[in-house]
Amino acid sequence: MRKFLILFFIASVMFACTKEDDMIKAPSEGKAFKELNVQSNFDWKTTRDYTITLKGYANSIVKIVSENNQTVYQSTMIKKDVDSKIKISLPAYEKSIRLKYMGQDILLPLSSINVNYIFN
Amino acid sequence: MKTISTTIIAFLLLISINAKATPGCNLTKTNGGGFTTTIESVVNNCNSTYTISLLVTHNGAGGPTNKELSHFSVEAIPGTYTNVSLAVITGSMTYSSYTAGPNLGVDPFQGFKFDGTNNIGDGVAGSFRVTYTIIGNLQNQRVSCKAGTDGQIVNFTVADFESVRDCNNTNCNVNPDTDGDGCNDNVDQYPNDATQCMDNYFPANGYGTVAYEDLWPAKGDFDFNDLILDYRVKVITNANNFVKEAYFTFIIKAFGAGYHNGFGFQIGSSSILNSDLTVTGYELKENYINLLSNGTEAGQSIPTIIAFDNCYKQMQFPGGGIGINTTPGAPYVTPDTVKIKIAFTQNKYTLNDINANTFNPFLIVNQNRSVEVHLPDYHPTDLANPALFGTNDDRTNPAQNKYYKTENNLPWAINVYQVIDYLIEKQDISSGYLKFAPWAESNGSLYPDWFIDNSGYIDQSKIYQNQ
Repeated sequence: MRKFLILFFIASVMFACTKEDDMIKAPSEGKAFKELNVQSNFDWKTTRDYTITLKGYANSIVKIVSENNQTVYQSTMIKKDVDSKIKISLPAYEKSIRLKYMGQDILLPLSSINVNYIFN
Repeated sequence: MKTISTTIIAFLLLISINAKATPGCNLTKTNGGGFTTTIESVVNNCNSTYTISLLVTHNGAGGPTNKELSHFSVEAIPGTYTNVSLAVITGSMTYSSYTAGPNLGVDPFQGFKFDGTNNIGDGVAGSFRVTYTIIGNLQNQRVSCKAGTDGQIVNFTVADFESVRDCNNTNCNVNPDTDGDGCNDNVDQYPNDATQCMDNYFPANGYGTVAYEDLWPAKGDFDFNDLILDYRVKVITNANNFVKEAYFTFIIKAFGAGYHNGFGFQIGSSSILNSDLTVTGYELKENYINLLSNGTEAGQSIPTIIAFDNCYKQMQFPGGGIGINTTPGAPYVTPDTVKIKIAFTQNKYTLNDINANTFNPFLIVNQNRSVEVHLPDYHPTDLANPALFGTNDDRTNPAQNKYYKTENNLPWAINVYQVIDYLIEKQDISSGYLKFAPWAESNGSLYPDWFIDNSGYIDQSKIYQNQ
């Protein structure tokens, strides 16, 4: 009886730790494309458009890089003490970007479609 | 006598440095409490030493957050600094002692310090210049304007010092700007061409894929393989971010279609004049496209480029199956590449104007120029027939800015930021990409990476395999 209780406890813990994704199929999975009901405001793009406004303290190139440092999304010259607006499309799954400027490496969250940063 | 001569040499050196400094090259950072520190000059002495000049300024603000300076210190690796001096420029700042370090008491770094400072900060404006020589390489250096208990530290990186040095042209030509375009050779991808500086790519890390259904305005089988194109855009800009040239590369991988479709795209907006573009590289083999002399399509208010006008003239039908490279067992045909070059009027349009990231690609159905298929909510060109909107399964409604979508908001085309494998003939995209439907019905909150080959994401039996 004691062994049974221990096994039951272990099994409960194992199932409690299983990710929800693995346990439950997403509700729409397997649905034919024609049957899908999509909201009118759904953005079918796999990217998101951002406007990033940067101000630097020297004329230099800024590189906008993926958080994992694997991809340079854009390189642009910014002028000293001048707001530089950069329109950029980034993969929708990106939550943050890195700004490489004058030896600095700034991690910037993509918290809205308009992002601002002033280098110091 | 020795002291006098040393002072004279230091004075001459100071004048020499300031003569080389260009005001626009200064680099200023804010310490806080009303203090700023500016790198005025960085001179490579060409003997493995650098002479650096920092200007410290207080703006005269008073109050509890703008206290009087108690000491000023500069981080430096022990044994790498010499010839340190301080000169009052404005105001009446004083100090009681200089410490060569390397340990500086409360400062969180080693270096040198001017201590017991008075008469600057807390409502008293002023400025002073600190000059020193660094032995060896430039180094990251923190600078503290300590007032009260606040260290008021700023960080200067090696790149900061290099920037001032290069801007003032006080280096030993180790980092030249050969073409003189303002884009130094270490970052200039075209160091011998003053009209070009940088390449930018979209997608950044390789090709993307656009995939079409071609029965619009009627629904099709939604295998999204009636035209499969991989694409990449390269935009070359100069040192002032103006676009010189753009290259659009399209790889036609497959078309599971009986229609002889064409393909084109628009860039930017009507603010870009057709006459400012020169287009080459298109492959037009039929007679239904009218071009202007510069290679853009006639009758368009937004620059429009037709890449090819008949997919069957790009890749030869091998016999067997529907179209090319979508039917298992049918002969495989090597994909065809079309490379479009667009040259722009110089110094007129920036990357933001061109906005190549949001270019508007479209399919031309069966050589009927008035029937276009666009990505969802992308606008038709001026040559599309608006009478087709709202017919069959299309529910385009320009008043609601809704284009090329069904009643349930389903599209006839998709654009993916990376190359994706495509479906075999008649296989619904949802059956191959298992997270596609959850992504769409969750309004994008689930599986934004539905196209990535993660475990459980793709049913490979529905995907076309190159045999």
